[in-house]
Amino acid sequence: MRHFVYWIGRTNEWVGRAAGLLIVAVVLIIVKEVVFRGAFNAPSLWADESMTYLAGMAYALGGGYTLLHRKHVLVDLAYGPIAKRGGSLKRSVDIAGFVVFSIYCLTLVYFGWDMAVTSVQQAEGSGTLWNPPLWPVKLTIPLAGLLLFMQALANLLVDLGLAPAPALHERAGVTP
Amino acid sequence: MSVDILTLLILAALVAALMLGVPIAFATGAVACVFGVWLFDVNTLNLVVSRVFTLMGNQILVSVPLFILMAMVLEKAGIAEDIFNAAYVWSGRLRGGLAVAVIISCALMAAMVGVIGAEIVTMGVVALPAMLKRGYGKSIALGSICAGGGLATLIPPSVVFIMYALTTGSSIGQLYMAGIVPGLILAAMYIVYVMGVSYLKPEIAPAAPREETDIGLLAKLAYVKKLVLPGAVAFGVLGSLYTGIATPTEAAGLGVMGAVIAAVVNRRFSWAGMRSAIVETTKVTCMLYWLFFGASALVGIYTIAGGTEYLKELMTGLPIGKWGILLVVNLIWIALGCIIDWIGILLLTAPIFVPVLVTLGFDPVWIGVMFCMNMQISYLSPPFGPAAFYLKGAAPPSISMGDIFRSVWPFIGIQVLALGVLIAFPQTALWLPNTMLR
Repeated sequence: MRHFVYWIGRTNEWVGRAAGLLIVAVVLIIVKEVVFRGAFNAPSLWADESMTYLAGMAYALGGGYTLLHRKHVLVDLAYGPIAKRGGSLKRSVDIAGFVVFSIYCLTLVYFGWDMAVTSVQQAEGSGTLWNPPLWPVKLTIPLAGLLLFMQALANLLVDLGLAPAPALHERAGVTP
Repeated sequence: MSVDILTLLILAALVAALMLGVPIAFATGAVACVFGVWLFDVNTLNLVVSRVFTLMGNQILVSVPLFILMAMVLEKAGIAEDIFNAAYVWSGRLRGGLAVAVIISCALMAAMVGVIGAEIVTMGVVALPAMLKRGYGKSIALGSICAGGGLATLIPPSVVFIMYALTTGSSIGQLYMAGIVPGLILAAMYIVYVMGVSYLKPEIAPAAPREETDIGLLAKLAYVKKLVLPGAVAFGVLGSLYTGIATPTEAAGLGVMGAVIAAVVNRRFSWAGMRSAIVETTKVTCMLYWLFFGASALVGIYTIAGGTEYLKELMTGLPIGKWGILLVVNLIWIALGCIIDWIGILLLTAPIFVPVLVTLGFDPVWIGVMFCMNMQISYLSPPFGPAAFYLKGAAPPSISMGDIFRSVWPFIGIQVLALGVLIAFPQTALWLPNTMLR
């Protein structure tokens, strides 16, 4: 279990970092687009769509990464006192929470996979002039669901004391 | 099953999921799945998934990480210290000068860095020890930092406005312009309050010693020099939105580029800083995307079950007139703000409240500014005022949570007053966006 927690954490860490770098690509696309449109009056067909979907895919896949760092917003008012008390109450609450969590993630995996497969079969395009195939975007959804599910499981194992918490390179973070 | 019972059941399920420690993003998603299958059939789950796909293709959502990244790059380049030092040498001779400098710097920073935590943490590290050392009372020192930090929600480029624009379909550019004047009014009210206190009780807000601020005009101007480029970036971003020559996404992308250039020119650029700016942006943005995925699924299911329509009728049917309804909405926002984050409040209540208020004849942009005013209060209000937690993390150990929460009450009073001004004079928000070229 220790290995499971470690490797899921590693995977999500790297997915998250790769996703983070995509924002650099988005910035470059924007700068390129503004310059080409402004200076050469040559807007491209693909800029808007590509950066939108790039960002969408990156941040969907990064869900597990944010979960690894436990940065998803939760309501402390309710859960805080339980977490503080610990013991068997916290353990059962954590397991129940994981079940609730899985409902959503597994829905994304199962029905997202369905949607992606249909998209491949129909060779679905976005319908714009550039008309990129949509299946890579749709395939991200079940993949992101899977990453989240695995990370939630890993976090649960850590919370139950069945595996040590993975070492994170943490910096003082802030949220808006 | 009738819609009112359904509404209560959904609410109960959501609260139960949140009590289990499930993050809001996934609690909303799971509740949507359960109720979707229960009310309709298993195919409803396709809707949950397709909501995710729709949002992944949302072009405005891309501007979120870009604005956050721009803020993070400027922050890593030490813009906050630069601004504070400049504001301090210029206002230090005033009584309560340090507290005034905090508020002025927060307002300036808000225009470059639309991220609340960053400002409060920096002020907690830079300004708070300075204030405590010079004998400022905790009430004025802590309160001014928390309240000043909150200004970032109102003064563009605020992430709250982008999220509001996405949820309600308003224009980001107009919302940004609408936030400026009320933001400045609020900052001015804080300054008046701080100065008022410093004249009534000089012992808790002394002026700076002469030798620190009498450094000659040239030296004072040198402090300002470092702010020129970052200021130009912020001004360029807002200007391009105001004139409409760039979309919010383009403006934000160019803003990132400008922030990097400003950091390089001011010799503050570092790869480590850049890296941590990207890492933090990724964490925050993933969180926001997933919140949108979940909330949009839940609101979608609730809408096809007839819930949104039901709540709208319920609200418009209240025998209290449109001002009464407006008051109720504000009270709900303030109450919710005490217990949950602005983003949860926005995603769950705005799809219902905003259309109702618009039907009653209120302007959606003005409602957005009003929402931000409410969220200012939520940042400070106990027991879960995020501003207080940020400050606690950065303050010396001698400062307790109790100290911080005691200090914010006068500032919450000022915020309520500013909310009143905004409601009484909608033009304070609306004249600037109305002068925009469309």
